[in-house]
Amino acid sequence: MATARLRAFEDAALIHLDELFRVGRRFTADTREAEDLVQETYLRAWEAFDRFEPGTNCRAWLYRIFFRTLSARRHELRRELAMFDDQPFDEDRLADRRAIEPSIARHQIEKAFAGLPVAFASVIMLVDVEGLSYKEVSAALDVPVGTVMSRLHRGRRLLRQRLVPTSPVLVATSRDRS
Amino acid sequence: MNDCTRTAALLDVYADDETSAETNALVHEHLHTCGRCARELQDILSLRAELRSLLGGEHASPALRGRIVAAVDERARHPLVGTLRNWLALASAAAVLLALWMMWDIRADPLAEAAVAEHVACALHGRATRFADAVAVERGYPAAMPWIRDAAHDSHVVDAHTCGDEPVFSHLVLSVAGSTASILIAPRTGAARATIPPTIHGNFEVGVLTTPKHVVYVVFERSAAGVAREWRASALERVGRFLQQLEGTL
Repeated sequence: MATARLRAFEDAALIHLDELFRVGRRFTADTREAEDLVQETYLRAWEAFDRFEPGTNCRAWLYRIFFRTLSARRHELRRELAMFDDQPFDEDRLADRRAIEPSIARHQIEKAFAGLPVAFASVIMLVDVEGLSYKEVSAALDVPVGTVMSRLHRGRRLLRQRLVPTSPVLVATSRDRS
Repeated sequence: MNDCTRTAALLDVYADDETSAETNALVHEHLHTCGRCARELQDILSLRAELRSLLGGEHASPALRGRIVAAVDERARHPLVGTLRNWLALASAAAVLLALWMMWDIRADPLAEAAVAEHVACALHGRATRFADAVAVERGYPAAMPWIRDAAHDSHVVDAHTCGDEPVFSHLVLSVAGSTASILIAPRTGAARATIPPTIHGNFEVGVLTTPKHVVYVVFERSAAGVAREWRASALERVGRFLQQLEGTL
């Protein structure tokens, strides 16, 4: 019985280990901390696996546990996750129409991404990097789909704004365009 | 709202393939005629490709996978370990909350603080004159005396007086197994809580009993807690019964 449950858990949940680790790595200081976070997520998931309904979205369920575990470890995260949704968004301020350099260095992306508020970085990571649907992200972060769309839009704009000035080539490209 | 403004608002959703077929057609049509929105879409797609390429290539180490499998397997074979751990965590959290609540409670009840202050001033620092039981009877505390005497706990009244301004306490100072304790009775007001567990206030423990019209505080030093706790329960019960009889509620 326990073996069958274990097998079902491995089949449904462990296949998402790589992506959970990748997302964990973005929100922790180093690989070791990311691994601890992911391991704790899986142990919590195992304890709650009786309540998981087979056939439903295990990936979104796992992410939900993951972000709750992350929030429990980082108290400030909860505040940060909630603080951006009600603020007015100055669309014009971020309406940078310059193109992004096609081959930006990895460290530039990582630096720009690390500077994003977690509320935005989490949806960008889940949608752009891991390919989750809006509905899955909504379930994972426990927020409405409209909030996912809003955070994604604003997060992408912020990220572009931070990436564009990093490349002299882009400035030249921008001048050419204007 | 022109077409560009409307389309720009939809471009993120369009790029993520989350728009309806009808919206897709509208955006698609606009992109054919608007270079600016087409570049905007290209930027969104380029950024996504860059992010996926740069941040999406990491993998969990085989060692991590092994650790997780082993840990889950351990939990599967010994499910009580996880349950016990959870219960211990819950119990610890409950203990902390209880302690905080008790600390909050004494602060939230100004009468309890006043009772402790009177115990310190009268019973410990000798503000009141010490009486024998007989003198206390003369001073007007005859009715309570039979209820207070408790030979089983080696206690007797050494002083009885009124003290305090708001509220005015009927204050009985007692010797309980060689240490000093106080019973302070005041009319019940809104400030007194209906049910209060024994609380800690500095070096003192405070037991509380409420009747419909009175509130009774029993204060003693924590160092005398063993005998005094037994006496407290007995004393509170005796005084409570006396007061309820006085109030006609017993």
